[in-house]
This record gives sequence, C-alpha cells and structure tokens, in this order.
Amino acid sequence: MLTEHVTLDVEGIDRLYLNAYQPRLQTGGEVAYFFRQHRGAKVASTLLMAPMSQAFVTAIANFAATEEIDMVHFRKHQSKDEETQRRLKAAPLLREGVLYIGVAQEKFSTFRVSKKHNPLTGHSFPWLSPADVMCNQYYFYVVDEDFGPCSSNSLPTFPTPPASISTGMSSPSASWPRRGLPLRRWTTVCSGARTRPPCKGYWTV
Amino acid sequence: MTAEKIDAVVRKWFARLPQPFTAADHAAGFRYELSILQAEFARTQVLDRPVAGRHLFEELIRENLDLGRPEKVSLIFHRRITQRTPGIFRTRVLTQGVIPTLHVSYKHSKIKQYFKLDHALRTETTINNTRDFGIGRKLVNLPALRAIGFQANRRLLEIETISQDCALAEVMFDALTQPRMIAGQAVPRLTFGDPRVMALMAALCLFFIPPYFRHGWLREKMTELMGIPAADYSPHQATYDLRRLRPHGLIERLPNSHRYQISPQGRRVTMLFVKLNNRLLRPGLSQLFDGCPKAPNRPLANAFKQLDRALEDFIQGAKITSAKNLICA
Repeated sequence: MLTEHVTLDVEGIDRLYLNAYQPRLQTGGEVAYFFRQHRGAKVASTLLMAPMSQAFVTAIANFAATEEIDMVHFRKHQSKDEETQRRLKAAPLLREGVLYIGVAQEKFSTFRVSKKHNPLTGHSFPWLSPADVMCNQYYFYVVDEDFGPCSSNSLPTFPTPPASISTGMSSPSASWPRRGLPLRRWTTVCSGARTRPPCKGYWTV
Repeated sequence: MTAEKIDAVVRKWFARLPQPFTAADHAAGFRYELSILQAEFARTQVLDRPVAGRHLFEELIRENLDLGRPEKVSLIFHRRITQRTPGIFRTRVLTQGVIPTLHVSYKHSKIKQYFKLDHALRTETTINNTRDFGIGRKLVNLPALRAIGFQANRRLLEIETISQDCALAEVMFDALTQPRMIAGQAVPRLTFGDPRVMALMAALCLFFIPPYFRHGWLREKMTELMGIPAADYSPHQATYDLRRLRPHGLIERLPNSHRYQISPQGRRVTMLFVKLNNRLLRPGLSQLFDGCPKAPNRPLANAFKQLDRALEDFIQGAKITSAKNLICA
C-alpha cells in the first residue's frame, strides 16, 4: 500500500556529529607528557595551557580581521540556527568560505590541576584531572562547495577540540543552490535537518 | 558521502581555520582524529497525495503502537535483547499540532517516524552511541553504522508495510482451510478459529521469531501459546503441524537441514489470521454477548440493542406477539 503511493524515495545520512579529538591527549598523564617531553616544560601545569589558549583566541581575532568576517557574540537563548539562516539568505552567492564566527559561552570538559601528596614522603605534587569549565566557544559557520552549509566549533581551552559541518543531505530538496534549486527551499530544509545547534566539540556533517 | 570524503573536508577546513596546535605539535604526532558522536540516517518517501499520506501515516501509528516492545525493537535493530539490556522499551507518540511522531528507542539510539512538511513519510534512525551496536566510534566505522541505520529504517517500514498489505484472497483462504492433495500427498487443513491452528499462526508471526527455527523451538512456543504443559504437545504433534504448514507454503525447509524459515506468504497469512482473531473476532463476540458491560465504547453492542428495540417496536406496531414473549410464556 505504501509503495504504491511513493513517488520519490530518498535515503541518506541526514546529520553526522563528529568529535575531533587528540588521541594522545586524553588523560592527565598524556597531557603531562605533552608539556614536559614534547614542549620541554619542567612541570606540567594548567598555567602552560593559558598561553596556548590566548594565542588561539588572538589567531581567531586576527583571522576574522584579515578575512573581514563578522564575529557574533551570542546572547543567552539566542538561536544560532536563526542567525545562520538570516546570514545565509543575505549571502546567496557565497559558494565557499566562512559565513561568520559565533562566540558563545558554554560548558566544556577540560583538565585542571589539583594538589596531591605522596603518602610516603608527604611532599605535594600537581595532578591533572578532568573537569568541566565554562568557556567561550567559537563557532565557524562555513559554506563548503561540495557539502553546503557547515558549522565548526572550537574551544580555546586545552586540548581545544575544533568542530563541525552540517547539511540536510538526505532531503530531496537539500541540494546546493548551484545545482539549480532555489535557496529559499534549500535553507528551509537545512533548518529542518539541524533541529538543534551544534554541540561543543562536535563536527556535524 | 563516504568517510574519506568527510575526513577530507574536515582536514581542508582544519587547514584554513586557526589552529591551537603548531606544525611542530602535528609533526610530533599530536594530530586530531575524528570520531562519530551522533549519526542520523534518514529515509524520505514522498507520497503522491499529501492528505491521504497523512491518513496513511496515522493508520500506521495506530496499527503499530506495539513497535517499542523488546521483541520488535530486537527485530528492527537486529540486536538480541535480554533482561539485562538497558533502556526503556516503549513506543512514544508525540503530537505537535496535528502531526504525530512515532519514537522507538534502543539503548541510546532511537528510530523516529513522522510526516514531513505534509508531503513525505520520514523515517530516521539516530545512533547516539556506536557502542550500542558493538561498533567503534572512529569515522572509519561509518559504513558499518550506515548499514545498521538504513537497515533499521527498512525493517521498520517492512513491518509496517506488511501490516498494511495484509490481504488474503478468497481462493487462498479456501486453499488454507480445506484439506488438499499436493503432489499426491494429503495435506491437512488449517481451520480458522481452531485453537491449535491459531496458536500455530501466532507462533509464526511472533516478532522474536528467529531467522531459522527448528522443531524444538516450535514446540516450546506452542506450549506457551496454548498454555499447556510440554508433555501435552508431543514431538509428533509438532511434526504434524510442520508437515501441514510446509505444503501450504507458509514455511520453507532449508535444504539438507532440519531448520525452517517462514516464507513471505506465510508471514502475511499468519499475521492476517492472528489479527482477525485477536482484533476483530474476540472483541466483536465479547461485545455481542455483553462482555465488559461497563466499557465506554461498545459500538457493536449498542447497535445490536438498537436493532432489538427497533424490531420490538416493529412487532408491537404490527400487533404481533414477539418471539421473546412466546418463548417466555
């Protein structure tokens, strides 16, 4: 009964959230190795992460300035999706490039240093353990020539997982405008495909 | 969209966007890897008539409210479910406005079906944890995950389609319910309504039926369905039942084996028999003979009462003593 009434049947990946992670920076010991063995620090400490974060934030600001890309600071409860839709409509001819950079304060899992004591000697030593922090997340909303609209988010907090792309690939009208379909229809489908904003540290395709 | 293409696109944008790690870090092996956090596999079926399509979808939901049961979830996701399997097995129908959506979960993953933009039936399998299916999270596992997602969509639609397509021609009904001679062999009838035949049909349309079953499996299910001790359903009886199912084309025996599988025809016939018995015959007879008199919705019972009253009035009007009074007298 169903097959008799189907005029078009489309099957595809609708959404794919990917997590970009550093396989060698997953534990406190690995982070300590990174700073001490690789970067030559005497002691592994979160103090060493701060310059990396600062440099990354500065690089993002420089990138935005050089490429003349808007940086949007999201307010609480502001819809990232709506903002992206608005900007996509405003730039219908953009084939590939960064649409804008969004900044939002969100929770993220990182490492923190705590003090531990050696039970035999009583000496204290630093210990890196996972912890949640609130930090700025940078969302790069890009348009890819092949994949269409995508989003990528990055955190300045160590180990800084960058992130993401999203498209409504499986929808019948979810084709890139250069393939001949009107942008209005295409953006509507994108909205449906991305019913929730990209999460922290994820890649969405 | 392959894992390689996705990886290439991500690497391309990694190279263009600012990075916190330096080239020296990358050279030392501190490189990003990609893992799958959530994947959604969708099938969109655009229907020719939107309004009829919505009605069809609503009918699908009504017919398949038991999709969330463990045995059906097991069939949809092709995973073995035991008492230790975590998660709540239920069917959720959420209605936003007039558009209902059907949700069925398995561990962290779920399958959802809804009517999209008033034009298409959309079936989506969302995998939130690849470990639910014994697959790693790396992006290279996308093909395996894709197979699971699309197969789940297809299986769900297959079950629903079968439920909608149940149709048994009169000729076939006679062929099943009358004794026949097939290839010189007398084949016993499958009488509709006979408790043993109905139990046999119910066993064959159980959703946790294995791909292949043996004599022992049938015997176990038959005793459960008929509510009798195993001793009262002998191996000979099971053999007899298998022998009358096979020539009717409801099951097929695998070559050089004692294993059987239900045929596509068998799946349809058994489902129709069981549905007619459980959903029409039993509730209908219950109403006609005043079962559950306080039940709020008894259209058959009410209609027959009205018919009785109309007949009484008609008889009174004709000044004829009713048959009921004659019997009482």
